Amino acid sequence: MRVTKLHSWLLAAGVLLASFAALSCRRELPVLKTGGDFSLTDHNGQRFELSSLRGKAVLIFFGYTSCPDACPTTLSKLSSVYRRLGADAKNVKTLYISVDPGRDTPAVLKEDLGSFELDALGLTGSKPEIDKVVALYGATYEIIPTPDSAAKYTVAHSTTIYALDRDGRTRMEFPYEATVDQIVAGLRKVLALR
Amino acid sequence: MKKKAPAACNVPAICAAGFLLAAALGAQEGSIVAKDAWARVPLPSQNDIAVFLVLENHTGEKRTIVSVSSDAASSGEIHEMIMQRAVMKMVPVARVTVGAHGKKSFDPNDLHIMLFGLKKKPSVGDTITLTLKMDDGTSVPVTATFRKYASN
Repeated sequence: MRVTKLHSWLLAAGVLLASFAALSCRRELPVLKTGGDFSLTDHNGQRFELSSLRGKAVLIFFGYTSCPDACPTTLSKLSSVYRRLGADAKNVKTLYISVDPGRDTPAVLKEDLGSFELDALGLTGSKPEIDKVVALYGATYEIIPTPDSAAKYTVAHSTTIYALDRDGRTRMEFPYEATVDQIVAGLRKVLALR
Repeated sequence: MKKKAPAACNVPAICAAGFLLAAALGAQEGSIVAKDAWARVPLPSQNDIAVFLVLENHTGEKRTIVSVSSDAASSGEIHEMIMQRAVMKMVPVARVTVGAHGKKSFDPNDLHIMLFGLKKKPSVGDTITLTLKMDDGTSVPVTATFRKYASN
C-alpha cells in the first residue's frame, strides 16, 4: 500500500517536473518579434514564397556575392552545420538574401552557392522588395560608395542569422561569431518545437 | 703545393657560404618580412580576393605600407573589416604602419590586402605573388597560397 502511494507521489512529481521542463524549454525559445512571410525571386529565376517552406526549419541571412570575407565565411560555416546535422539536414532550408541586387543576379547567386554543400536558395528582387524583407527581419544594410577603391562601392550589412521554426516564426538569432556547435544545438531545439 | 691546393680551393667556397649565410640573416635582420601569406580560392562570381599574412618589421624604425600591387591582378588595396553592432563594413585603409621591431597581422574579419581583377582563376594550392611598397622606397615581396574556405 505504502509502496504504491510512494509510487504515485513519485509519478506526480515526475509529471510536474516534466511539464515544468517543457514549459521552461518553451520559454527558452520565444517567438521573436522580427520576421514574417515574404516573396522574392529565387536563384532559378522563379517566384519564391517563404510560406512554401512550412514544415521545415529555415535559416535566413543577408549578404552579397562580392562580399570578400563575411558572407562566404557564413556559407562555409553553414555547410559544416548541415554536415553535423546528419539526418536532420533535410529538414532545414537556408535562404541567402542578396542586398546588392545591382550585381547579384539569380545566375550569380546560383553559381556561388554551388561552391558550398548546403541546401540553400539565393534570393533577390527589386530594391523595394528587398528593403521590405530587411525591415521585416530587423536587419540593416547600406550601400557605401568607395570612389577611391576598385570596389566602386561596398555593402555594409547585418550579419545575423535568423532561425525560423516549421511554421515560419523566428525563434532564434545567431550572431556572426556563433560557432557551428552553437548553431547546430540551436537548430535542434527549433526542430524539436511542435 | 698539393696540400695548399685544396685549401686555396676552399677559400671561395667558405666565402660563398659566408655570403649566403649573411644574405639569409639579412633577410631577417634589418628588413620587413611577410610570413604565412594565404588567400581563399574566390567564388565563381568573384574576381577579387582577400590576402592574409603576418608582416614583421626587423628594423629599428617604423615602416608604412603605401601601396600594394600584383602582376596577377589589376589593382591592390588595403581594407579592414569592421563589425559594429552586428553590421559588417568593409573600409579601405590608405596606410598601415608596422612599429619598429613590431608585427602586424592581416587576418580574416580584420585587416586584409584586397587584390582586384584577378587575371587568372586560381585553384587550391596555387600561389600568387604581390608586392608591398613601403614608405622608405623598399618593397616587400609576398607569395600567398590559395586555400579553400574552412569553417570552425
